Amino acid sequence: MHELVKNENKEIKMSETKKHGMKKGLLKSFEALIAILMIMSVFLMFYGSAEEVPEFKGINWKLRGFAALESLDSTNELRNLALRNDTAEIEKKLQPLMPGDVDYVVIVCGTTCDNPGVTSEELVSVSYLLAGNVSMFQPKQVVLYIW
Amino acid sequence: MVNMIRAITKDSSPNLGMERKGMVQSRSKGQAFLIIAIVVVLVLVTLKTSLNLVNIVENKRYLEAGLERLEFNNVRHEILTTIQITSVHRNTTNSVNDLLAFSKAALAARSMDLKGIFVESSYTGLQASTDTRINVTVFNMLGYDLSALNMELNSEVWNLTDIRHMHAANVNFTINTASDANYTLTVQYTTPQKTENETITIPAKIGRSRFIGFFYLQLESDRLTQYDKIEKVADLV
Repeated sequence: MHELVKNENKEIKMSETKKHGMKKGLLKSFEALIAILMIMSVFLMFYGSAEEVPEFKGINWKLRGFAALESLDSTNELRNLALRNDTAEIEKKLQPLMPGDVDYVVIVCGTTCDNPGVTSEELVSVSYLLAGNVSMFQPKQVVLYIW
Repeated sequence: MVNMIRAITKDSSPNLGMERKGMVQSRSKGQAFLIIAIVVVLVLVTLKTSLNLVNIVENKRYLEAGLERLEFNNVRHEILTTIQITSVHRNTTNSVNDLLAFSKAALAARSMDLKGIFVESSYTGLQASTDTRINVTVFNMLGYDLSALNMELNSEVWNLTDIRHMHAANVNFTINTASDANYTLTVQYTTPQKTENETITIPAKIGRSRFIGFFYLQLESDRLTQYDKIEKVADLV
């Protein structure tokens, strides 16, 4: 009698374990699927459309560059150097006023300016207009290319 | 009989109890996926809401507009500088107009449009009780032709028509004063859109030569339109 009960127990246990195992697996898979769907739908909803975050590097360089030229003009140095077309000296004077991690080049020109010949995707430019000085009225623009 | 045994053993078997415990545990593991998913979703939503793209774009536009304000001030400053540096033995009116045309071309290359109307008056060696000529030049840089330009000074009137864009009109008035006085020059111009009036004070000072500039400046770009009116009186040497 005892043996019979034991065997019967084993049988019941095995069939129930199998059943529960299958159910358990299905349930887990279903819940995992829901979880994945939840994350995916939220991600697509909020991050799906490719909105580009604007970069501030270029405009910050321009503002720094313009402020540097303005500062150099406040002492009349820029005016005199531009009339002499001395771009090397302007670049030298700009060095302490510009951010350390950028390259730059100065071009002094009239209404049409030469291409600086710089191939950089980050190239920006800012121009500063000058009328001339007391000894010479000659409008010019100082173009500062930064990259 | 078998069913009875089943009923007894179901409750009494310690192994089956453990099995139920395992089921509960695995069920909790399954729910953990959902809890993790909810946490991830919350993180994604928080990230998105904290990254306010509209504000970022607006901030960038503000900075770009700031640079344009500096460029506009640069033009203003150079107009005043031109008056100052050309007041000694030079033709201030022509120099200022050259600078304005230069600035317009330079700014156009940067997608900005400098517009305006400029009234430049000057007299040389004003003497008491003597007829003195006041030269008035109106430079049209408004972007369209002026169909009519009327000027009045000291009851003397000039009526001009068809002043083309980037062209100047020049007239002379005569004043005669025994002492220092302020004259009023009224300028009325008609554009295709409207008629505008400007009133300019001409300070007549005995024994002096003077340049009196009135500049209505406008700088337009995709982001911003800036306006300003400048009046400047300079002694000519």
